[in-house]
Amino acid sequence: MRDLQLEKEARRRRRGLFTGILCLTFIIPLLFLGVVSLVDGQAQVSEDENRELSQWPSFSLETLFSGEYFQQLDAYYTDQFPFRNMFLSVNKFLNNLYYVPTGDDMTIIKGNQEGIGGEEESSAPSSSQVSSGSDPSSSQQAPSSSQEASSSEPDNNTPVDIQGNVDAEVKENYTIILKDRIMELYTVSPTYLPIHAQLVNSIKEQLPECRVFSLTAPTAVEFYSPNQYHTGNKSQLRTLEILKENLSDDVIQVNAYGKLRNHTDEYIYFRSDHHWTQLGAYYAYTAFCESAGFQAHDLSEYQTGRYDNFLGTLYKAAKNYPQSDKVRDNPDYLDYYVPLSSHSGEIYGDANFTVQYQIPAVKTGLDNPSYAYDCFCGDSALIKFTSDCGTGKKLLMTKDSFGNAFIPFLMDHYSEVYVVDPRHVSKVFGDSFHITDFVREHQIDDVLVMNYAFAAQEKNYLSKLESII
Amino acid sequence: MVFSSLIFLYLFLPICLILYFLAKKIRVKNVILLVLSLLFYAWGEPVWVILLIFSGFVDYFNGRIIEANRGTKYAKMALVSSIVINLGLLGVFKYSAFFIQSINGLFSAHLPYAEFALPIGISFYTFQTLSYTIDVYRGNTKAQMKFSNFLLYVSLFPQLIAGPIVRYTDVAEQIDNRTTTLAGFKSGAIRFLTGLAKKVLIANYAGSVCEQLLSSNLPELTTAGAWFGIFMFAVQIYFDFSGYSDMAIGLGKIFGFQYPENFNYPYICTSITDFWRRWHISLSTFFRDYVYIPLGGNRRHLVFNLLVVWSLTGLWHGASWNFILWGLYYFVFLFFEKVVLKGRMEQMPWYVKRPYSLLVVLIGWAFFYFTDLGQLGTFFQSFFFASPNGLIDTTSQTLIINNSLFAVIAVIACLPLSKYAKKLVNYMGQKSNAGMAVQFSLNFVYMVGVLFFCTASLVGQSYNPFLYFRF
Repeated sequence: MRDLQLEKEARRRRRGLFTGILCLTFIIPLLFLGVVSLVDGQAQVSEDENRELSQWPSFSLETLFSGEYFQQLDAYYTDQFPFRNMFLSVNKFLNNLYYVPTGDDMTIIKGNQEGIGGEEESSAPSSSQVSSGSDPSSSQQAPSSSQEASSSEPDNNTPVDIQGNVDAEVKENYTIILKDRIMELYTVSPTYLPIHAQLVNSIKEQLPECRVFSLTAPTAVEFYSPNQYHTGNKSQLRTLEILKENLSDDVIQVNAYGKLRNHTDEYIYFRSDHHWTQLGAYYAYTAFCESAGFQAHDLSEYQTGRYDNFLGTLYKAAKNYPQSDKVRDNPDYLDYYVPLSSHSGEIYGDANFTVQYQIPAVKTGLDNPSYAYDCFCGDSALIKFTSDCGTGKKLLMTKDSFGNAFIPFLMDHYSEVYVVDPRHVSKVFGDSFHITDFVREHQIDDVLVMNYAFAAQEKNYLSKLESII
Repeated sequence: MVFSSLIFLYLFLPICLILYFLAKKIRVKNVILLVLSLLFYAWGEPVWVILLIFSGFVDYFNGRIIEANRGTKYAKMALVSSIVINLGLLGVFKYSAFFIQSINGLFSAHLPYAEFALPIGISFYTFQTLSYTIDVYRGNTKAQMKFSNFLLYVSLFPQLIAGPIVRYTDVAEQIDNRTTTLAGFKSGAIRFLTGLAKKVLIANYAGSVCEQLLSSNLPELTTAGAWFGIFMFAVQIYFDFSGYSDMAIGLGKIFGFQYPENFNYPYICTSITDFWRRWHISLSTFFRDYVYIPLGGNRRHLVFNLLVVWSLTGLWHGASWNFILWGLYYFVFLFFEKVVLKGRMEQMPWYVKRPYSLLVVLIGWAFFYFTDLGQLGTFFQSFFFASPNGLIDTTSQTLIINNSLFAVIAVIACLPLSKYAKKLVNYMGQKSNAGMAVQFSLNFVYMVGVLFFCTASLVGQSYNPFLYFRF
């Protein structure tokens, strides 16, 4: 009898011990990570995500009562959580657990968070647990019971006359990983493309004595994706058609598309980055020469070099997905072509045209660059390139980052090239910079409006462009 | 603040647990819980926390008046004032804009209205305080004499934001009189972690698939995409909501409170009547006890009663016509089952009643998902095999295949297998020492695994890449 009782007693105690340990199992990790999160240092920037990590928010009564202060604290805490990189790789592993590959080895993932216009975008809701005012505040859009008051309409202080037909457009950019190539999916915007054309037309109207060129570059998805993703309302050829219908006859349209279409079996687009290679830019350059009446140089004339192991923006966006490992294991390389003419560029830092930096059109011999595409001129409000090619002709171009790979080829045809990135103008010049005035002041001969298919129809980009015309 | 956030898990919760269990007296524990609960709520609603406190005060006051004046007209006045104020608050903050917009639409008027951001949890706490005054009036419970206790009941953070709707009678005793045993803490912790896993590892994932199909790319929806998309939404909403309830119940248990169950494997229902005994149980019982039965239940004008209850149920979920349609949709099927079939659905063979139930529920979720009736129409066009984009396309095929394993896991998780698994493990634990060791190990691995992977997933959700560097 007593033995049985002793045994029961021992078992009870053991059970109690186990239970106690389990309770500790709950509380100890919470405490441990909680303490670490309070004492560990802060990271500034996430290179992979191309953004600054949230810092300790500044306090104000206003943000306190609007709820913003707490949201920022949330975002700060999440961004600065200890062992972030380790947890991100575990998350990647989780993504892999669920994943079943298709026959053609394609994955659809969520794309980047913002449009091309960058900057003035309403502060990116870092997918933190923002309670959107719906009853059970849930982190994603899951309304447990009540409706979601989430309004994810981006900010709208754009002067562009937008016929708010936003429903006609697909709001989210998705990206596909197809074997070892990552591509952004595209949808034609019949609302914004005519606006783009109008802007170019108005430049020509105000500068009748200049030649005005329009060049819209297609992207990889047009040539390398399954049929569904480049036909119908996803066709960038359709984009060019719409632009053509709306551009005035005085504007010279450069058919870069046709050239690229003929060279798709060459390395004209990166697989891990959303840009074209400089070879792709070269073919667009040959099209430009045809339109401008220049004799394009042959590819073999240029000095070349290579940056190996290039993993670009799309890889970083897809890094969280194990399907992107194929891309990581077969990275891009960047071949650059150096202009034949001697040249240099000046980047202006303020409205007084103070020279901030001097750069070449292509930086050769960089040592292990973190982002190889940066070897081109980068994105600045205004860069003035001077070349000794001796033609005496001057060009002003507005561009997004696709233009960066294109610019080197211009050095051999223009004595002066002014490069304007509309997204950065207001930072440096406020609202004092207008390309039409600038062109007249500096007696510039040609104007080139150059974009890739996404920027050509992006609301924020177009509004920035409009503000500098 | 939400449970499924890093700041809650690693800052708020540990601090709360330490303070709570360091305190010895129940009165101190209650103060700690109250202060932290108000902070928890204020985190998401720094201004409208006032409303919460106000609503609590109004019904505390009314409760005491009713108690002190039982049987007189003052008691009745207090009850009425409670109902009016609670429903009034809800009406103004949640429904006024919708109501006026509808009138404007119907009569081409231009009445002005203010758009309020909905204070978090208002649908829950107004109902809770309302249930309190009604129960006090009916004599089901005595009024709570201490305001801090009553406010604790209203604002207790485990159940404040997303339910379950806890009635005062459920916890009245426990406010001043509860303990947490080691076993209770453990089982509460496991319950909480289960809910967290449901939300973070299943619901959020289902949500992102569903969004790709039904939200961003709706104009391109195919039939296959419609079916798979709404199926993913059914998964998302169940695991999100029931996960939240699990976390609430688990946390409550840790602090010594026993909350009622809110879900009972709704997707194994055998009829729509059965579905509503398994889904958001605290809400349907609320409407049953405070609206349906007072109206006469199934004894007087059953159909009218059903209509009222289900319109209100729909409306409670959101101030929008699609939610009302959702409620009425269920009214139709409940009418069909109760009045037409007179309960004979339950006797049908499983291959009739289960597919019927699941199909009805699945279609019902469409009414719930699309607040825009135009989009709802687009969806149904695809769902009922009339999509302009055809039966299936590259996108829907890819998404379906990519997520097929997840779909299988989700379906399995909807079955009550875990109930039997738990019973088995517990039985093993009772049987022998080896069994106890196994039980311990399984629990240990489960707890650590869930916490680790959920944390990773929460960090992963903050991964927010941009193509262009943002300064």
